[in-house]
Amino acid sequence: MKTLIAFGILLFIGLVGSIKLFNKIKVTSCFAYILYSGTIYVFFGLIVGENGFNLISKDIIHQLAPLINFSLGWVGFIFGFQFEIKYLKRIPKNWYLTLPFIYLTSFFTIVLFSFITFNYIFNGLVQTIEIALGMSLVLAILLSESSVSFISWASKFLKKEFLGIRICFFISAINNLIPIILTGVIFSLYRYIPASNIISLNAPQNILPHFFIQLMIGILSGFFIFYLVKKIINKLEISAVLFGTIFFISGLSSMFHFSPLFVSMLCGVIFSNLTHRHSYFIRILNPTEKPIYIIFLIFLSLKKAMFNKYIIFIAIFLLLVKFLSKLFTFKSLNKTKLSPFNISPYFSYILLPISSIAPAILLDLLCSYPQHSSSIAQGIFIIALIISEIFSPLGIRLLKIRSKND
Amino acid sequence: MINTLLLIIIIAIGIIIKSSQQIEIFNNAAYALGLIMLAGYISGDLVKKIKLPSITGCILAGILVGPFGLELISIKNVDDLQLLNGLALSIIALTAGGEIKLAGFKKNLKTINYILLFQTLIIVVGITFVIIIFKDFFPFISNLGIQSIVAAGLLVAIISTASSPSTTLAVIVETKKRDRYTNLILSIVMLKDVIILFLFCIGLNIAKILTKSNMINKNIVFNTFFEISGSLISGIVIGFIIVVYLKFIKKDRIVFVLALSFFSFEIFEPLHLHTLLIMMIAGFVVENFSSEGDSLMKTLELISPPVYIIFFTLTGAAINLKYLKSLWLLTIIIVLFRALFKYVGTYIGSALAREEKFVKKHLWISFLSQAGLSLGMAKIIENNFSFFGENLAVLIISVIVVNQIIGPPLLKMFLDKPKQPNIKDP
Repeated sequence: MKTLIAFGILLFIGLVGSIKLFNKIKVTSCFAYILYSGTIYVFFGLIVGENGFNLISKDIIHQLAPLINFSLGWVGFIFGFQFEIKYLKRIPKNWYLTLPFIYLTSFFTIVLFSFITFNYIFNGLVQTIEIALGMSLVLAILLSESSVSFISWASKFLKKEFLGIRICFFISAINNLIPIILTGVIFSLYRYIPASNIISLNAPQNILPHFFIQLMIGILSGFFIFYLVKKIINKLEISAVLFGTIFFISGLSSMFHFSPLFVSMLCGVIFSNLTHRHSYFIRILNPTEKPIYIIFLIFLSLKKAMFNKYIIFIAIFLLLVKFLSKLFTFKSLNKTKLSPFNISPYFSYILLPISSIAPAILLDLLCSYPQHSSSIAQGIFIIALIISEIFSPLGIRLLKIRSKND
Repeated sequence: MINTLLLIIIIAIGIIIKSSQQIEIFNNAAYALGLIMLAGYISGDLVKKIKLPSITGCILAGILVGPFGLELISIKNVDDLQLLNGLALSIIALTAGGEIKLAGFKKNLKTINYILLFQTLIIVVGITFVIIIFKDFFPFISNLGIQSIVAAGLLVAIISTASSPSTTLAVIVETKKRDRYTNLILSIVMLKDVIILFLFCIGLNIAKILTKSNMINKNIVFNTFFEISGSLISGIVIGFIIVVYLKFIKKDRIVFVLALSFFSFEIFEPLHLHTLLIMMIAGFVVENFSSEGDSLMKTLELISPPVYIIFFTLTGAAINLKYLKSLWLLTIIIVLFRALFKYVGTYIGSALAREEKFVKKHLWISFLSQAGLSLGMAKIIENNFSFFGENLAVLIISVIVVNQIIGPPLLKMFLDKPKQPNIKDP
């Protein structure tokens, strides 16, 4: 409860301060995007959950676990379904190396800095070097991501930056795909032992087979759905079959310590490339995206998270690392002319918010590794999410000013 | 062909998981729900090819994968999913209420009354006598005095009167038939549920007097009256809330209906009110006393396929065939006589109402299915009569199992029959 009050006061001061600042520099309200994206529901979860008034009992949270499992699978499936090779072919071939490179530079920089932070600066937060490494990987996966919905929102204010925005869309698409794959890798790397409440590294000989099985389940379930819905025309029957299959895959994944998000994403990719009724299915799937995202945000904040001054510091520090790594990557790519496209480094401002797939990834990890260290990652992520979204309109303004000066 | 193969694959996966014998892992509700939905859907689709209603496929799939079949899902899974079952039941009841049109109800009132009266009367008297006559076939009551035999007979008889509104509705929805007959069937089945609630309470007290049980509850009839009137009022209130929402807010109707159904079940069940009745009344109110009936029914149609699959496959999963195995002869006797008395009751009732020949001859086959309410009553009998309660409950459950399997195809057969409406006997 105390943490919630402290968190609230801090947030209030931040918001009041930012309103003044934002008014001065003529930017749309700092609340604008946080309200648009649905992140406001995080506060709802914080108030009613274990971090606040504890109005929702653990029993209810436990009973709703299948729903979370399903939602993770569903979001993974929808995400994977958007990767139709036909459309991916439209991306110029020489972009295929650059786009992951932009993600991976941020990823490795955050891994490095957060490992230093956990292992050397705040080494009391985690017990072992293994956990410090795992924590660094998880935070890098979460914070390197960029929000597609924010870029879409920002595009309304940056109509003159059409090409830059388009490139940012591609970057953020890759910035969402790689984290899901890396989540699958994390599940293969680390195991959780419920009896002793310990997270430890998997035996090296088990890592590859574990990842391979995840991969195969995802691929085979894609074929399974394809054959099952092949002859169904009725939209309602299709939704029943899709729900059933995703429940099945997600449940199966969580039973065998696989990532439901990763497995279902693979299922979605396979199904998407087998079916000829792509746009038909998109119409069924898309309306469910937003409600599920809101469910994630609420659940993410319902569970007990760690909030203290160190956590706030780490969150701000890692966001800064992300921003600077993107900035320098763009600058160096432009300078060395290795990139097939030229993009202003200041687009790093609008790649800062992390509200796309990251909440789902974190929830996936929280469900499978219900341990103390997960609550640290949860606290850092929630603070980073809120800060990145509050200051996101400022990023749009700065990008406008810098682009004009350039 | 491909569906059969996919069903085999799912079952094979289930068997592999089960054989891993890791109970902690095995008890995963999301997996169980996925298995139930897929097995239910595919089986439903397969039985459609032999002209059976898909809910029969769902029930059979539930029996197959359930804890009393191949044990691919555990009893804990079924218990965990009760939350969802309650939600499904609320939605089905809401749909059932919405399906009854007041105009049709008024028009059929005479027929409804006569059929209800004679079906109930003939089954209650008839089955009681059958049990008295065949008492030697029932080893657990044959040694008791005549009073106890009458008590047992009366209880079985009252429960035999019931039909299943949820099953009836599911078959009607699937066949997409909406006519005078469907309205007649739904009205009778639903009103019968209310009547049986009262009858059962009275019957329970009579049985206790006959068996000289010292646990007679004098307030039981009053409590039942309170529960039913409370349910009626709650149903009207819920109906009013739905109308206000659909009229003024309109947004996210699916989420609203799901949330309302979920909370209704969670709120009213602990208060001992009848969620089934409440939601039926609510649906009836919205359909007949507002202009939002169409809007509600369209919303319900959107969520109905997964709801039916989950509900009926879970119903199947809860069926324990061991009961049937131990009492198959007695079960057949009761099932046959119940069907016979349903026929006689419906025939006399419709004849007195001057119904057409088709109704007189064939309507009875629509009332054979039996489920939820009857199962609940069987449980009450088990808890109240120490010397025959347990065996009698087993007998009642095995009768319900058979009726629930044969009921839906017979109802579909009736609905598919070519009819010549408006030709009444002189």
